[in-house]
Amino acid sequence: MSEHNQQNLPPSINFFKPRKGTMAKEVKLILLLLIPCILAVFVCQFGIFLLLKTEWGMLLDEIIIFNLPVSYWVTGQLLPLWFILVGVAFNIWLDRNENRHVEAIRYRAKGRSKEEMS
Amino acid sequence: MPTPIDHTTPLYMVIGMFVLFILGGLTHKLRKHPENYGFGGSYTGWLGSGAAIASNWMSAASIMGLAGIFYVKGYYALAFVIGWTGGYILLLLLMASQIRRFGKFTAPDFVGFRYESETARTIAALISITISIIYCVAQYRGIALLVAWIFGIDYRSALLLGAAITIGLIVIYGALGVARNQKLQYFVLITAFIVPLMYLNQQLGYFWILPQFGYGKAMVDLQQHFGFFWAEPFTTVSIYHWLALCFTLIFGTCGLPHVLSRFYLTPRMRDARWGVVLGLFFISLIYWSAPAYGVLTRLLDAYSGAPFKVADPATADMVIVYAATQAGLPEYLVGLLVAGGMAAAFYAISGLLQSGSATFAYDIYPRILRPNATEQNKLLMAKAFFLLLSAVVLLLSFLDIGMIAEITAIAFALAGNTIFPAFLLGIWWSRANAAGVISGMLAGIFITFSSLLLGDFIPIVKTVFPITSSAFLGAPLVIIIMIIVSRATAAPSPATVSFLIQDVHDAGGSQ
Repeated sequence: MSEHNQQNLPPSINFFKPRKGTMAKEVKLILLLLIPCILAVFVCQFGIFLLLKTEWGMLLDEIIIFNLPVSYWVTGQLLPLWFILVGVAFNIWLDRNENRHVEAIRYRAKGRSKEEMS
Repeated sequence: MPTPIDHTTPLYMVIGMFVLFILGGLTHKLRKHPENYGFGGSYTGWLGSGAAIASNWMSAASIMGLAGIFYVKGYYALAFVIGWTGGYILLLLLMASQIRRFGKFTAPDFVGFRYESETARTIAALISITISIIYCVAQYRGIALLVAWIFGIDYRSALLLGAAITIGLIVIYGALGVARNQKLQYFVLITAFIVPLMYLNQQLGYFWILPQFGYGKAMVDLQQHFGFFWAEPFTTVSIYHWLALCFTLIFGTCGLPHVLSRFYLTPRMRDARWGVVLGLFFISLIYWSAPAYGVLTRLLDAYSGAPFKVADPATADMVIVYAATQAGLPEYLVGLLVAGGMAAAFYAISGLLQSGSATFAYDIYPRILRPNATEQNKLLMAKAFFLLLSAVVLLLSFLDIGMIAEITAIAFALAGNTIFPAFLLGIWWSRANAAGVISGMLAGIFITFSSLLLGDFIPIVKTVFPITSSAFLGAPLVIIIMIIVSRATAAPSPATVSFLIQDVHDAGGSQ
């Protein structure tokens, strides 16, 4: 949404139309990390499922990584590790921004009450 | 059949572990802050926060249930691993920081505040209590199985005895004012789970230093020497059911009241964020290890001449103990496993019953039943409801609902269909309003139990919304309902929108 349009609309919060500035950056990062996580789950499982339907399915038993059949290793060990790495990346980004924008409210522990707002 | 061993040592180990935790709790600094009881952890930075998250999370489902479901259903169980770890990353990315900024202590508090509706708050409170009940039923099953094994009694007697012990211990904890030392608890439980597994791997000749990798060789041996392929992907369930369970657990993790509570009290935001990642690592240590017990028990079965026997779900939840006894592990290691399982189940029950009774006493009783209730009245009601809740859980536990992991999954499905959409839209869409969240939560309750209510008349409902896995399609459906109803009704107050913009998302400057 253009800056002009955003100014004409009543203020609101919408994940798919983030307000410019820190929120837009954060939403972009969230999407950048969330989509690969969801895709990793879907792609891995559909990949394994489709592979099992072909003669290449034997590879799933034959390829061994860290003693485990590759399908087990990817699903049972690699994906949780991937989630941890995504969490680390997210926190590092927030930490860097925290240092740059110490005054920003998003890095405060908690917000004000509605009464304080009004 | 398990090798007969003397059960006295395991009994002493159980007693010893509880004494250790009581002493740890008595010396813990949080004892000075009893208001944090049930949620509190050791706030010594990331490590404390991570250990608190992990110890809060560890229950009979993690210690016993996952190994059991893996033993029965092989690859299907990995949906639990991905669901329970993936949920934390979704929580971290989408909700953790924002929830903290709301400054509310419980899920009903959050819903009531964000949606400015007492009705929504009451529904959220009733859902939270129901989730606690279902979750506790799974824990009671774990305790009953362990008590039955220790004392050599039948399941029903063990359930009664286990419940009596549990309630008695909670009363003692309350009387002594014991706060949980969650760091100590996590490290004792993880040791109790992994050390016997290392020994087990060593006994069977596999790589034992990292048993999380060592057991893979046992899977290969099962296939090569016994032609046993039970663990092949998608042999026991379809890919739809696998994904449905996985995403139900992911959404459910983001909606479980006792998981969300972790973010309300951690004083420093940075500790909370890093605590989630460290907690995820600690939790993953369990989930990287649990399948090993299932595989090794299958191998021990095969060695004993019964490689293809159909696993009995009634006893499969005990595979961690059976693996240890079948492999001839020393009694103290078997005892360590039993004590770990008992402690995990006990603390899960303790926290859930207390938060359930507090939800009733503070969210429902003073607002609906007795508006003029004093603090003394509320406290009395919390205690009375605690006993009532315990009785309900005990009665439900007599029903043979399913395995520990499956029962737990129902609680996740309910959370994923109700609390998760309420939080998600409450944080990320300022147009979401009270009518929307009330419709959404009611629809979520219906979807969760639709396979029980309609499954016999409309069989496709059982396929689309399985009782353990209904949130995969259920949560998006609830979100759509919330959007439609919110759009069709009045917008939230300007104060709420302004609060979201300026205090939750820090977007006020861009106006």
